[in-house]
Amino acid sequence: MSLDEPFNDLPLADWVPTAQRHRADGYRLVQMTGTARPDSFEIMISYDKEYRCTNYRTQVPRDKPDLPSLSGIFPAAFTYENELKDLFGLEVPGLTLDYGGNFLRTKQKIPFSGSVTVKQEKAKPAAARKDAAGATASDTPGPEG
Amino acid sequence: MSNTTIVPFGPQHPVLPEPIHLDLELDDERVVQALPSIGYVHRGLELLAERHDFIEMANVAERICGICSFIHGQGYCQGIEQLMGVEVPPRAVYLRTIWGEISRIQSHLLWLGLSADALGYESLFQHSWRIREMLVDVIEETTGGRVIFGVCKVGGLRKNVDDAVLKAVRGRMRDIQTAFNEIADVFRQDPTVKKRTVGVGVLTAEDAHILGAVGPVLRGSGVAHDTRKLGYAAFGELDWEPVVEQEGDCYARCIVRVREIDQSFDIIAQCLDRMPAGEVEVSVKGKRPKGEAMFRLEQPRGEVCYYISADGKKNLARFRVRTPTFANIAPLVHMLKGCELADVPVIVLTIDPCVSCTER
Repeated sequence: MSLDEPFNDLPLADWVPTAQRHRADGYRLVQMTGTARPDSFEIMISYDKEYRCTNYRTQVPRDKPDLPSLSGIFPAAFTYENELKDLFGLEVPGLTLDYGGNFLRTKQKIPFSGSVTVKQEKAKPAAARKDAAGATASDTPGPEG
Repeated sequence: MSNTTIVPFGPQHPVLPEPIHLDLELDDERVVQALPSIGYVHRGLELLAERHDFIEMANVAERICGICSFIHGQGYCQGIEQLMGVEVPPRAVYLRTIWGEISRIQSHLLWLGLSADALGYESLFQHSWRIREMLVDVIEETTGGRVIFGVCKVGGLRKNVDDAVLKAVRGRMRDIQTAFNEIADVFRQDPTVKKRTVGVGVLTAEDAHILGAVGPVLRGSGVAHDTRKLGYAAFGELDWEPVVEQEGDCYARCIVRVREIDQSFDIIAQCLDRMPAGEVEVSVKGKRPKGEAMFRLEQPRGEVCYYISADGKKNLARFRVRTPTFANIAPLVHMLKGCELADVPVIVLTIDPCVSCTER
């Protein structure tokens, strides 16, 4: 359920001190996620205390994609930070458990940031002929056509 | 010289219905460290939301997982409806609540069966799944589907359920609850179950909180946190309290699920008592979502978060799902430290890992 829980903008320099403050205040780390913007990676984080979420967002510049790790403060952050690393190619200095970009064991080359395109291999001549025949058949009007 | 050995666990393993990999560093038979990795069934569903119509995406959201399919669809639709300022009719809200709780019962029964199988208790596995089958029949009679319900849509529901059918459902649920009570006592009292689960994989309340545990893993450690308390769907109007066990071991997590099944039967009965009359959908034609928000719901495995960002176009700017299994990976790593190799399958199972959810 969505409550009145807006995302507050946070300078990158305040990323770690804010986490330390929330840890000291008894908050729980709910989630971290990112979005690839044209000039930066927008990283969002949510902390929860007594069913109320406090959300923040910070911008990590594309030319220096370093996001300081929170895994020393909230141990659970290591999964989110490794995922961000794999998805967006971020560097996460201070990560307590660094998979080196291998947390998501996908066949598709990572990071996934930017426009993801799947390389289409050229169809073999026999398959191409079959496709063409299929296309012709589907152009023929059916009983309702 | 170090005497540790690395033993790979998964991605294919008899107790794992879905692929997750763990590198277990062992000192003799004791786990020193466990390193999980995922990605074997990564599908990129979040990216699909940026390329498909937000109405169509409700169908994709429901396919994030085959067990909590309805709740994924419900969460997505609720999020879009709130961004559009659409209020769905009360009957749709109550039907969604019932189907959500039926999903919880069938998911927990599925887990109870799998855990019984992992404990070597074959007959208990078969009884759990026999009862689950009775419930899946109810799902089929009310929605037409058995795995993917396909009834939730932006603006309400695709189909209404007649009062006569709901009356029959009430009787069927009573029968299923009676059948369940017969096996529930086995999970509660049988020495075979207790021998393998009591005192195994202990997670303290403090560790569960700081490691971001959710769902039965968190409540099994004595923390009374259930996202349904936010009051979404009809939960704000119903009488219920989170199920909590204090011990934090595999047995406590099992008992939380057993008790939650009983509680869900009660919630469904309350919904049937208060079922409003009327339509189950409102038109959203011409409306498009705009803005951003995070939505949280309680799935059978725990809290799920949906982040939705929309700029008034037909496709979303960003759709993100943080699933409960993903949140429970860090607690799992903690629980495995120091355990015996033979206990690893049981501990892994007690977080009820749903890998296809986690991979998205």
